[in-house]
Amino acid sequence: MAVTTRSGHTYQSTDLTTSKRRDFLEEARVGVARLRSSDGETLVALPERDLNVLVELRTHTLAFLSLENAMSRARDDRRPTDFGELAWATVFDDEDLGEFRAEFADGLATALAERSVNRLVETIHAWRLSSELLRDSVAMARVNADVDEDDLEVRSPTGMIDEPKE
Amino acid sequence: MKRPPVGAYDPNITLASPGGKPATKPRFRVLMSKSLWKQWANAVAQAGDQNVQQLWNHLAYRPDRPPLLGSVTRLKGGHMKGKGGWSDVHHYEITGAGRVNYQFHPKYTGGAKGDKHAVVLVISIDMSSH
Repeated sequence: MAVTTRSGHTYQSTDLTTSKRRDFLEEARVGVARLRSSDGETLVALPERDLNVLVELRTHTLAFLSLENAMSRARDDRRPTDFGELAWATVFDDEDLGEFRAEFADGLATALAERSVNRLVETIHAWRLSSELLRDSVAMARVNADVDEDDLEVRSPTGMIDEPKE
Repeated sequence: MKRPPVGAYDPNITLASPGGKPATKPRFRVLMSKSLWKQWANAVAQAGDQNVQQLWNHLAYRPDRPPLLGSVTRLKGGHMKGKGGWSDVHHYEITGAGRVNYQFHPKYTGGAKGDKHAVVLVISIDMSSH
């Protein structure tokens, strides 16, 4: 699929020395501007933030495909390396992995729509934190456990108990 | 090393205001297992009272709200779901004072004899940063 520009115009490299340079920069600033170099190759200019999102989306999409690939295997046949950079996700059972995959897919779609990977990164971060705690069997034994005689009440470290202000 | 204030949990005793001055009572009692005590003490020793105070403030006043400092993440997956009135497991991180995983219970009774009161239970403490 070809890149579409607002004007549909392809600028020439010589335009950059004329008043058309301003139009080229404006078109690049609001989306994409196309430029044909002197040797005939077509180049595009776009805001760096948009390019960064595309680069990050590519990385996250590859990770998602690794997850999909790993989950397509029977659980006993999966190796941590199948998950690529998401190797930490091997600690999850299939139900959690299914939820992770669904949230990951939603996050990718949202990132495309919003031109921002922030929410996707937050989702992946939350799952990663969860995997770290899940590996800690001592800590997991405390989850949903009743308070018992071995629990201590922790007082304010400085003795101050003034509510923090908004 | 200054020892952080700590006391055995008693559902019938409330925190006293320091020096008798009027102060806003913490909304939640912050509880942790004795086995975490050393890590908490290390946190205070490494990060300093003032930094750990920020962490404690979040746990004591607004574990169920967006933090004023740092970040809170609600953890994912079935094992992190709260049961019996406990919240889902939350992760609080603040630069300079480490990270804690916790659950809160707005109406914990502390057993058959306890009155309803709000508690935060620290699940784990980690002084390393990501």
